Amino acid sequence: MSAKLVDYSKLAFDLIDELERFQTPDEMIGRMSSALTQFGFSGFLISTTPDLRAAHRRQTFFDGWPNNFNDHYIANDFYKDDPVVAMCLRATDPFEWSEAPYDAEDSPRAKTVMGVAAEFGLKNGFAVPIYRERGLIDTVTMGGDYGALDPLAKRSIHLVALYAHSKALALIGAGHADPYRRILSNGEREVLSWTAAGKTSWEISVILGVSEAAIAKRIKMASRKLGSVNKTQAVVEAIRRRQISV
Amino acid sequence: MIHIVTAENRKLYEKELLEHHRIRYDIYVRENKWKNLKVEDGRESDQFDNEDAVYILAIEDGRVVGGSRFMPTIKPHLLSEVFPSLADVKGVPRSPDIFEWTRLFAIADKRDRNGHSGRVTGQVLCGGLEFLLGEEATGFTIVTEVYWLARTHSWGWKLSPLGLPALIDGEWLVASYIPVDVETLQATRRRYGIAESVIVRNGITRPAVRHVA
Repeated sequence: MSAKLVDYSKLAFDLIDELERFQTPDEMIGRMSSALTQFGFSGFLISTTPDLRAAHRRQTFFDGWPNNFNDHYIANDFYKDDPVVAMCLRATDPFEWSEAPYDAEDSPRAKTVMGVAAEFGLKNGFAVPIYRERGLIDTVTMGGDYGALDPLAKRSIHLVALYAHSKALALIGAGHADPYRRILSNGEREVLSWTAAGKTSWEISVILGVSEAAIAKRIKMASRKLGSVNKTQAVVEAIRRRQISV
Repeated sequence: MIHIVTAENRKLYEKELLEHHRIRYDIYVRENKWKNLKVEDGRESDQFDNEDAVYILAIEDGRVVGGSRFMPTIKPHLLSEVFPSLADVKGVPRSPDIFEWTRLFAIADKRDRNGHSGRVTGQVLCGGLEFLLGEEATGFTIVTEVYWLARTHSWGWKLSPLGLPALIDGEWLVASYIPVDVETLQATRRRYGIAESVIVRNGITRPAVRHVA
């Protein structure tokens, strides 16, 4: 076993052991940030992954960025052009920010986002997409101004990210609050509400003045977003998650 | 219901076990494209499908719809023989009180689109935990894709890592140890809306591990 493996993995395992004991987000953010400096990072963020197609904004769970970078990021709607966000929606594996592609000519704003991050001391970074149930994707991302990441350091922070994400959700109770985040479009909610009221697809198509095929499509999309296999289950799930009320 | 199949009662389940190996072929060879598996007559098996293996089978109307396999960690098992590097920080836990949990599946039409959140999965999980509690096991080890961690954490399972994640055949895998107690079972039952025992023991008189030890 090389000395490096011992060092990085020990740092990671010690930190994961410590996660157990944290009682408040501030405590965890402080300790995580200082542990991550040993890997070359100056901060981290745990958040949802905003999906432009579903009109999601980013919900921050834990903001461990330096110099209020997250406030700047939110105020400028950087999530819309952030290549790391786009990559998180596609990637299943962790990646370095430098591996998130963008075309500087087609998307000058992407270049701006990365440039501003660098000005805040976040020149490089590492992102871990986290797949939750019901198709939700979160992101744990860490940044700093460093040279290169050792492969063993990457595996170590990958593990830290997985455990820190779970601990963050446990601390803020997001496991319960988050499912209420609005995920259905107005049209989808309309159709599910009428379905809950006992209307058939044909009746709803008459009421809303759209084709039955359009109704079927909205039901299908809503079911997909809710992780349901059929219309009835989608209605139950939509009510439970407060996407519609009856 | 979830049937427990040990070396002792295996002849009562010959047909179901064959069916289970055929389903495993569909899932692990065709769907997940796992490598280095033994395939015979459209059925998948590996070197751990031996006398020491304990199967749990979800059977509905005579049809196998889900299942799993448990290995005693005092015998050769997946983590000890195939993926020991995944436990290179904490070592491979080996004890009569610890099993290894492998091959957790539900057939395709019993899964929702996220893969593993269905009713049958819930029964297999609760059945597995009940089996472990019945064996007086203190916990189990498991090798999974990393995306399982967020899920298992959300069920209230108290995972500890055994080593760093590693990229193996294109998948990030990680080995974990998970302690089992009544609270683990209750949390999992709540998560899946299961109120009572789901297991059936036909022709089992002995614990699975004591007599192989």
